Amino acid sequence: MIDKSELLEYFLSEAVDHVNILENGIAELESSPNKAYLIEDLFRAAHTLKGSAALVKLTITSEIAHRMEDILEGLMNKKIEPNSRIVELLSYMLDGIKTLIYRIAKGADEYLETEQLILQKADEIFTDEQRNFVVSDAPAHDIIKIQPYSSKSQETVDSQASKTLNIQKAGDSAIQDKNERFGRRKEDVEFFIGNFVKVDSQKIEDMLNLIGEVTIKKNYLLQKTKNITDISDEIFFTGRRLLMEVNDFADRYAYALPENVKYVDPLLSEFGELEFDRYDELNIFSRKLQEITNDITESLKELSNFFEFFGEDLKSMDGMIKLLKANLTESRMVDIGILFQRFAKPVKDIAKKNNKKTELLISGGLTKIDRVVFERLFNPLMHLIMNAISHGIESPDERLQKNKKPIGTIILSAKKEGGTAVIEVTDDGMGIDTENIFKEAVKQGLLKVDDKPSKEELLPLIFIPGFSTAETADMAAGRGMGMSAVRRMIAGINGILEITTEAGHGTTFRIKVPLSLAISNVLLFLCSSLEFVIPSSFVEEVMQLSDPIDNRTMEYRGKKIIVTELADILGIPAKSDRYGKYVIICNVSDKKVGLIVDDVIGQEETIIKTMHGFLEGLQIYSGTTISGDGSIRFVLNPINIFEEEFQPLSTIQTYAKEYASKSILVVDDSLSVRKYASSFLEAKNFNVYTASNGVEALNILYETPVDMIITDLEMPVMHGYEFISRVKASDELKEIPIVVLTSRSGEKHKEKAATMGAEDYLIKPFDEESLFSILRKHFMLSFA
Amino acid sequence: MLKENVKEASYCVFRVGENEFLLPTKAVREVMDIIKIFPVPGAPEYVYGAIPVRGKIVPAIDLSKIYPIEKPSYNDAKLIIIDVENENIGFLSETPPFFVSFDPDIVVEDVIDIKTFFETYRIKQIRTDND
Repeated sequence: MIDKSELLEYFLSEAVDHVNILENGIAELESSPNKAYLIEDLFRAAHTLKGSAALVKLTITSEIAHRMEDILEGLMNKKIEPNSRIVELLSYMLDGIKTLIYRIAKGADEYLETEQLILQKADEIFTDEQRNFVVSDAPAHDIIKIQPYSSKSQETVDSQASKTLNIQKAGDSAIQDKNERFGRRKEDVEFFIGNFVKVDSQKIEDMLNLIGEVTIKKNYLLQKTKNITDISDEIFFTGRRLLMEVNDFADRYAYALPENVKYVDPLLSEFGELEFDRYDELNIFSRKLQEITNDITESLKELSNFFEFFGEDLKSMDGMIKLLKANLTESRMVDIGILFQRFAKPVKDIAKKNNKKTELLISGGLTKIDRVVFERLFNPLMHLIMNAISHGIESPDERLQKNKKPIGTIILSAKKEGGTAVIEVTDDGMGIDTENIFKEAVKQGLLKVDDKPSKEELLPLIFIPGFSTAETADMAAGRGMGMSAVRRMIAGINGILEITTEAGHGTTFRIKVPLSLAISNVLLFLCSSLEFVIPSSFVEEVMQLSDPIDNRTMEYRGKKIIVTELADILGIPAKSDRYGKYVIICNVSDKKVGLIVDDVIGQEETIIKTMHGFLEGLQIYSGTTISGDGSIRFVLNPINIFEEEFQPLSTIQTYAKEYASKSILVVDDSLSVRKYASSFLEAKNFNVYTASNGVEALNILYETPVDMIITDLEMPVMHGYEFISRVKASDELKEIPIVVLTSRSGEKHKEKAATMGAEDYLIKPFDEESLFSILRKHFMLSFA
Repeated sequence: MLKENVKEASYCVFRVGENEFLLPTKAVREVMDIIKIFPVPGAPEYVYGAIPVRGKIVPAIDLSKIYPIEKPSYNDAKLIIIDVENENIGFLSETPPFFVSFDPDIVVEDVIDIKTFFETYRIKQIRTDND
């Protein structure tokens, strides 16, 4: 026996579909009231909803659905007219059902405040409309043939099963008896027929996860096979060397030279030297060696053959896993049109609230996307649509003045591009005024009045958290964190968001998301000998860092882009040598940015688990993956890493100068002094290098440019005076200011240091403030 | 016998430096040897690292970075994994933990309130949206 909660799950999954059909249908009914098939679709949805609600004992839902069914039946039999009153009533009833379903989905009781009101209204209007409508020849027993479903979005399991169903109508439904209400109609029996099985999406999720694990293990095996092949090649090669040596050896000793034959077998004494081959120990050994080596070589040949086939097998298994994954992923795909339909009503409501007129056009509704992506697209799309209506579309009067038709248009479209879905929200409103953005940016101190940024540079500013050009931030489209939140939500499904706008003609928001999230393609790389990954959907290009670049920007395809050392963001030591490093060019919705990493390993398919619980707040990561050998790899979220970097590039130069961290070399033989100094220098954002004596310090200096040297005087290996003199003697290094840090407070030491070229003299024990005052003097910095 | 056991309050005792900490036994899910621990760059200092436990990532917390404790030696450390509201976190212990039971009347001090701990030290979103 199926328990009730399980039944309820089935009901909910089904109910959502029906509600969607109803919602979209009712909206469509208003504009095209006489489409017979539309009414039939609606009738069927209401009827099924009624039946299944009754099955799980949701009497209120069932009751309301029943009344809807009656009304729709009335429409179908032309007993009433599909006027606005009826449409409004249906919409009102549907709202009731939606409220109920939400409650039930949350595990609450089936309760609706307006239950009585809805039912009463339904009965009232229905009988009223029936009376108003001239009842001509409504037969008491007519047979209606239900046409196969033709609506695009409703290719559901149910529809397949319902191709040829006859509905036997028994009398006027308004006075139908209670027994018949909960589905005694003929088709209730015939309803669930077909080639389809309903599967809980969680089950598919679990299977996909398993395939993900299999994929990871397979990757690991492939990698290991490669290792083993390498090893076997090595052994094969060594084996051949051994064989050559042994052969060489055998050639020399296979036959004993007469003088070496120490022992003469009495049985053979009658043979001369050339008449019988004699073998000594060495001869025998060398022959044995030769045989063994030959055996080994044979085995190795077999082994390498084996691995060749094994590799092939793994590859074909790889293909099958990919196919399995594709099939399974596909089974979880949903038409995005169903999602688009959900916006029909909100668009109307929001437009009404804002005293605007809008129509929603949908295209590419048949594009299939992963259920998970589907669900997580609702909020960002809702936000974009709300913005478009309240800030994009003008009021009807305004539109007429601008020679536009009074009704604004919002187009929701979707298409597939390779492994990504491209979803666009386009409005024909006023567009985003970059002038306003500029003014706001100046107001917020992001730009100066005399800056002349281009339109392309200004547009991304709306992604800065808290940046808003809307004069009033209302509840629905509260813009306070608007666009940055949308971008973050989309980043959460590894997607990117782009805007194009034309002042006076409208705006397009373009969302690019992977079709499926279950298994992601990622780029694997190293930073500070730790493995990290980044979803490939963000990656534009990977380049080897050839030219030394200034601290914050580099040239990419003729444009200046921001680059950041990943190690700096993570607070881990990076390879100091920038040559041979890689820069990953990421697309963060509206611009390209570069992430400098130590080494790029390659691409991989893997499952990403989102960050949760204790580590959830670590927003530089969007999740974790576990490699085949069980290591944790963190998944970087470039959107969040570069969130703070959203400013026009024209301002970056000055910014970079101000914050470019200075490097300081601390030379002292005492570990605690080195630690003490570096800890508070690092806290002030200095790059600190340390050395325990002059020789070490010089080695560092020849490799890394520093902006200042702080050195002790008494040190082993090379003392401070010698170190200073070496630095000052070098053409490359002599400009670096040197601060002496010593416990010798005598004037003699101080003088000697000064004559040798030290700029400042600091006596131990020293405090932060005295060091900072020196730093301020040298770097002309202002820090607390 | 059984009844008495139910009455008694049981605790898991573990050690970091010179300090002993107590956890309610029922919160302890398992005690693990640490074979390999992975660093979590960007996390606060008290997140010593993370360990994958059956597909889940469990942060290992170093209490010496939260309480004033001399640098402990985690060479032979154990990880005590606890359940907090469907999430798992782990505490590093220098020595294998042991379990004790007290009469419920006895007031036991130094018990880590795991819910409060979790909420206090959970990594919060650093971003401020009005920045």
